Amino acid sequence: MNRFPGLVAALALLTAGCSAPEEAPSPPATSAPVSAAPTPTFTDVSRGDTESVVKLLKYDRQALAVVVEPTVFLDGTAFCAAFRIPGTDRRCERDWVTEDSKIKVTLPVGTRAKLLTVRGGDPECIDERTGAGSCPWAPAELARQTAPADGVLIRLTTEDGTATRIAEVYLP
Amino acid sequence: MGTVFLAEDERSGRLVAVKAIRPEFADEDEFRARFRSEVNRARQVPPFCTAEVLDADPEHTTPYLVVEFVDGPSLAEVVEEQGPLTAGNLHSVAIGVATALAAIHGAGVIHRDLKPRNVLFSLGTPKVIDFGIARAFEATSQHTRTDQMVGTVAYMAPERFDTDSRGVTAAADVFAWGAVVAYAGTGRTPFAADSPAATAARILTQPPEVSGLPEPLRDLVTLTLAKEPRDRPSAHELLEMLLSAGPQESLTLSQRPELRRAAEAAQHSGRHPTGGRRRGRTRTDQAGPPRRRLRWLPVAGLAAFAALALAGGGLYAMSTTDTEAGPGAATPLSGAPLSVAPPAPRAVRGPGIVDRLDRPIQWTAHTLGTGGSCDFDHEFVVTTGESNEVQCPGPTESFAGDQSIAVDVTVRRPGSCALVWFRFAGRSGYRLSACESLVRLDLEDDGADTTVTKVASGAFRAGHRERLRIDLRGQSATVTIGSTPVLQAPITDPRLVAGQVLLGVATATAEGPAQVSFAAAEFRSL
Repeated sequence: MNRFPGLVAALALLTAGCSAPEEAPSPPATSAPVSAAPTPTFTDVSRGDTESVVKLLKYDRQALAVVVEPTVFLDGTAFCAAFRIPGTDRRCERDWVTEDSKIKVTLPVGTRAKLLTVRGGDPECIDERTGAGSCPWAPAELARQTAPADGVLIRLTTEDGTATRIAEVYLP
Repeated sequence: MGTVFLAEDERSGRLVAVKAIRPEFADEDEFRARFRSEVNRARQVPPFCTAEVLDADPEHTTPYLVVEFVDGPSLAEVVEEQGPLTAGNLHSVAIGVATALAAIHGAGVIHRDLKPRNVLFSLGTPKVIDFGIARAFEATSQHTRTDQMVGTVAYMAPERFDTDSRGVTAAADVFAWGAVVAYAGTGRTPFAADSPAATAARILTQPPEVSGLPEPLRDLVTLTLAKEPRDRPSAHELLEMLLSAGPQESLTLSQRPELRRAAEAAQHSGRHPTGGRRRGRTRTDQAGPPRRRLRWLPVAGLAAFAALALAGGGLYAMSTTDTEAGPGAATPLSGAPLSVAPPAPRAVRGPGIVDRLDRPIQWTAHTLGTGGSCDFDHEFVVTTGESNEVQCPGPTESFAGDQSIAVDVTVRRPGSCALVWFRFAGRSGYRLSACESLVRLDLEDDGADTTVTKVASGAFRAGHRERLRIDLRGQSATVTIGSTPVLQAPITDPRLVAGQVLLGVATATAEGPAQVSFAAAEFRSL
């Protein structure tokens, strides 16, 4: 059960809206394909100031670097609306769905970057506004968790192409 | 062929299948050479619905091959025990086996022995095994008697019955796909008869019997069972047709995201026709960098195995577990700021790499005993040392189709050439040399080079940083320095349609080590 109703939707809207606010997905409402729904985009995290949900593929604490994969992260209904998928598709019923860019981007990590975890879904560690982690994430633990190739969904904040905040996304 | 062992990699604990060749084959130099060649190619096949080839030793007293252990029943076992597959599972097999063939053919390999016993189910997803080794057995004439013909008659294309079947191409695998899918969907092969000889006669003269298959799959199967190889689609064309065939295919893909990802990846894994005529390649230009190279390529290998002697047939435990569509299930997406592939139904999105090259993570630092190195000093600095050429390890993504490669290049020492390989797989690929006085594109084939084209250019003078961009579109490569196109060349070798992008350095005329640096790398699929 989703203990944080609305968090995924909030994250999704935040994600899609960071780099291109005018292209944020419409609030989902119908199970039929929505022809007018705006199409989300992948955030270019390598330039400028951004805030988006990405897949963290690798973290190197010595090199102060991460490899991330921009993604689109939406709740199922918004996903189907955004991509004009019939409402009968089982993805439309999911709490969240991602679409991966398959682009691996290396970013420097600021020396004072905040690393934040949801600590396994501990309510005390989840920012209610963003649905992302709020408790300190030890660098060693972060490196360990990103060892698998599948990566970890994070809410990433960048300033001038440098990662300044890495917050684990709470996944219901 | 020999004995199959179930074994365990002592380091990883991973179970593998070790296929040891029979001693009578091992004594033949011709067989060893062919086995070596085929295994090297098979190792380049990406693991998309295929059992990955992990290791091999053709020089061992008993030559052997190590492949991924697939813990599941074969398609033959499933159909024998449970009857023809239902619609969803049938389409899963059709797409999965086509995906495997696209990957296999993309690596320049022909399976030659595709049949239901070589399709295994791993957690419900089909995986094709035993590709790329049949040819080693076929070509040794004294072992190729009619009753030992490699391949099961019911799945053999008409051209394979020719006296000289050495001209068999990848189209024979596509024919076998049609026969396998027909068997999976109906429980009988499309040319079934009372005896192998009668089956062969039907294959050569009669239309296929596929009436039990659902549309539109039936039409596709019929197309692949055409008598003439040229009338059949390629594996990639077949996969594309399957992915856009109809609602059942869409449903299958939406329910099996791992299959969809594999199919997409296989579509991008290469599209060259296997069995085509190879261009002869010899180095024709001796003016370039000398050719003594040291590479850091990944050392494959599973050092030791605790072999558990299990005979072949008992290797694969029964399992019919299906997988649930996971959250990673995806549909096409519109590209935008990152120049991803444009939106299209079931579009294939290729990989991309973006890296400033100012710190190790996607690329790593290495030092050779000879003094050569790949290192970071605000940029990615590559030095030859005593070797004349160095190729640095980097991201292993394989790019196919149209792509752009952009990177800042600085020739740090006079007489040095910055090297960018693309569509590099195994030991072959295209290599662009950015030198002080020229830019040259070579086609490199296992150490033998052919210069495709070259042009005089002083853009890369020592100490000067320039943006180098290589655009690959269709069968043409365009090289741009800064904003000025300087070179356009054909890239038409049918084998080189997919591969890595690699960076390196070579000595042109320099006395002492050559050194270049790279920065701001952006490799994108278009």
